[in-house]
Amino acid sequence: MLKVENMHVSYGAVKALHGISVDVPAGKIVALVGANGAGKTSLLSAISGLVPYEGTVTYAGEPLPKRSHEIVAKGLVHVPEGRRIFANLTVYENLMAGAYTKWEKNGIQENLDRVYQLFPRLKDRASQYAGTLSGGERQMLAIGRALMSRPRMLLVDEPSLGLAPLLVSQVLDLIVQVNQQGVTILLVDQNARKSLQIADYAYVLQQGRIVKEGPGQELLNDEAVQIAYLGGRKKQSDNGADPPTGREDDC
Amino acid sequence: MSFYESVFVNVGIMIIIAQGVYVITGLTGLFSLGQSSFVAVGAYTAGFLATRFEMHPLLCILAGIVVSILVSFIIGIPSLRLRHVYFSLATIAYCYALQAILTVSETFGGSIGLVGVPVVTRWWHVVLGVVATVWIVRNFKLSRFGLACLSVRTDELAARTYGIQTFVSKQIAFSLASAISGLAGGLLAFNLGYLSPDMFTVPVSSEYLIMVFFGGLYSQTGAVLGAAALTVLMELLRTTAAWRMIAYSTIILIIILVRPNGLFGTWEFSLDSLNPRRRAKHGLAKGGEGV
Amino acid sequence: MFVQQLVNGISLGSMYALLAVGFAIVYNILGIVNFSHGATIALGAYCAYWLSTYLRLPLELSMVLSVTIAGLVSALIERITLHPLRRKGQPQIFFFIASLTVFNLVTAIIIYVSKANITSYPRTLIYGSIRMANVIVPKLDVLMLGIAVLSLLALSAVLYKTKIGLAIRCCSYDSRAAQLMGINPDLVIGTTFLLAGLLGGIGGALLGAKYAVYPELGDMVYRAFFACMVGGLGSLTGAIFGGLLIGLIETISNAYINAAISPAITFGLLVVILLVRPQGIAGKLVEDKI
Repeated sequence: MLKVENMHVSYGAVKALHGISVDVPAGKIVALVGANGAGKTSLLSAISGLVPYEGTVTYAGEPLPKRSHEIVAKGLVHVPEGRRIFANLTVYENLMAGAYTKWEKNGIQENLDRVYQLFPRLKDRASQYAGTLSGGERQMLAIGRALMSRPRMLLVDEPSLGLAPLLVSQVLDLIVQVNQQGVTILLVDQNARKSLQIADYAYVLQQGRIVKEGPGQELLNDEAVQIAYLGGRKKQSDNGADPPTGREDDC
Repeated sequence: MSFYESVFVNVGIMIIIAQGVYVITGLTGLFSLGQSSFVAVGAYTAGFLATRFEMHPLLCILAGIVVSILVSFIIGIPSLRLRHVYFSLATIAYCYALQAILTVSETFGGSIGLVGVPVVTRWWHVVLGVVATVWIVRNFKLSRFGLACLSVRTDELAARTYGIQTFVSKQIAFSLASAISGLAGGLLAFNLGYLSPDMFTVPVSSEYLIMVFFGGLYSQTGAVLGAAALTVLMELLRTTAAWRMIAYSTIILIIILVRPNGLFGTWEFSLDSLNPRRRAKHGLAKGGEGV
Repeated sequence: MFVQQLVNGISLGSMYALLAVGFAIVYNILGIVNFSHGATIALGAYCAYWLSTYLRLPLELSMVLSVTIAGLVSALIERITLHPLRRKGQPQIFFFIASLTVFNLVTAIIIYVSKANITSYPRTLIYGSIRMANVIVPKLDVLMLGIAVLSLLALSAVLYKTKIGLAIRCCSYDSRAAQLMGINPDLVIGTTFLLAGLLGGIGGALLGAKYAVYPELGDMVYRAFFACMVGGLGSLTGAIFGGLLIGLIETISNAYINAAISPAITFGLLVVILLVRPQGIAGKLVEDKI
């Protein structure tokens, strides 16, 4: 579905990605795991056209356009981290903004119903300003908003950031549900264990390079990954929560 | 006074005005659309004292500078605490208000203006003024106040967290800019011999700003050379004011689009740059300014 | 007498409100102080004058056409000058200077073409006045107020009922997130400038009918700027209130004090209001966009 080959991204003199290749097969969930500043968000931003990059990205067999709105029109939608909803708009208007590219076509109502079915909470709050929503609701709105354009693939950035532990599982379960409806997913989340559990395949990023890849379950059992990103199984009592490698300043 | 001398004097006065704009806008990053009013304060004070009390021109000009500084506190203290946009707004308001006051005031000749100011400005007066201004501004820029202003321009909040008194720095820069404008106003009054309120409008201030932009907003050298080049060019064209403005604006627009940092960017001329050994020694002072 | 001045003030204020709202929608979306708005104000008056005088078109038609031209010129200005700056991600300073320069350029062209004369439309837009009790209101003032109200209603219909309006509001809040919705920012910003230009054109054309047609009409942009700040930068309702306030202060100080000193009083009072209430009348303090 999406194939990233040899992608380089730099911010001025700082290089964030050093030639990354990622392959996301249709209908699957692929996760990116890594410490802060490893380049996960840079990768998503580059794919969705927010950040310029070098390298090639093919999507559904064609080269991906470079400008954000053209990319969305192709059915590839980036769900930014939860706080980037339009707080000055109502929940309903936020959802309609998500349907921007599908405005002329029929079926907006149908889409809306589907989103409301997935997130009943949003229906209750439809006429409220999005700025009044709680963290979890905002995240639901961000995902629901993206679904309004009937995407074929979602890039989901940190859906569980800042959420209570109970909500984290809920939100990631929702992502599985979305996936089961036929939407391919590239997921970045700070909760590495949970995202590896739901992922079909995963890549481990470290300082802008891919250091490991494999099926989600396999990485979950990999000792190095465990120590670095899952809090370690054997050394949990020590300072295992601190990843010993792969840390650098946020770009 | 010959044609060339009059061009020379005009150029000199414009360079001085440009130095004032450089201090407040280029160095400190504040957009003043009221610089023409400070020129007006200097000019009217000097002109008034010269016509009414027949004081010596030098004293008149000094008085103009002092009044300009006083006014800069009246405007600056309330407006410099607020955000940048408010400052621009306050200077616009001040410019309109001063113009209205000058227009109605009988003392200053109303809308006809002040006439009969002795025309005594000669080329060496202007040379003195330019040299003094450039020297003062250069030293100000390299002083700790100048660095404080630079930090305000780059990131005011960060500057404050480093303990820089941003308000004080802005007020000092604003007062210095006003003093320089006041000096230019005094020279202008004794050069033209008459003054009227419509010589000091907001659009005139915007022309000053644009003039400095031509040479490069962030370069003192650029401000001097930009002002000189544009003024000479416009004097030589000697066409109508409207044509001049069209040419002027078009040149600036092209520069913004092609070379946004002005002709000189952040480059500064210095005698040291001619001498490689001293250049190394003063490397910090020279390269200290980024965009 | 006082009631009459009040009506005059509201009518004039409604024009300022139009100009201020045009100024505010651009500020909201780009976070820039758009002085080139002044160019559209002057063009609104001058195009109506040129079309009705030299092409002998009916005045009403000329005004409609000139408003259209003002809108298109506004979008064109954005395309030619601000768009390249935005592309390169230049700092605010350059937008400030560029919009100021464009404003100066258009004013200079108008001065050159019109020989800097103060003129007026070939005929009065509307004669007569309406008399209620002992208040006499010129019909022109009523017409201006009516057009202003209609224009603002039309604008709010565009902003709240259409797709592009939704996109404008999204971009005003977070333009990068709006791009991720598939919204083309160039289109949205162009449309915003078009709308602002239309509002500026309407204001300019009508102010030309009320006073005279003169090149400095564009300087009204500074009043628009003030109205926005006093109303609360970022708020369209605030801009309307600010415009009305300026119109009232100006009319009343004109009538009771002195026409020549009225700018000093108006601007002085506004600065005082801002000192007391820096966030403006409409409320919340909006942070600078970076």
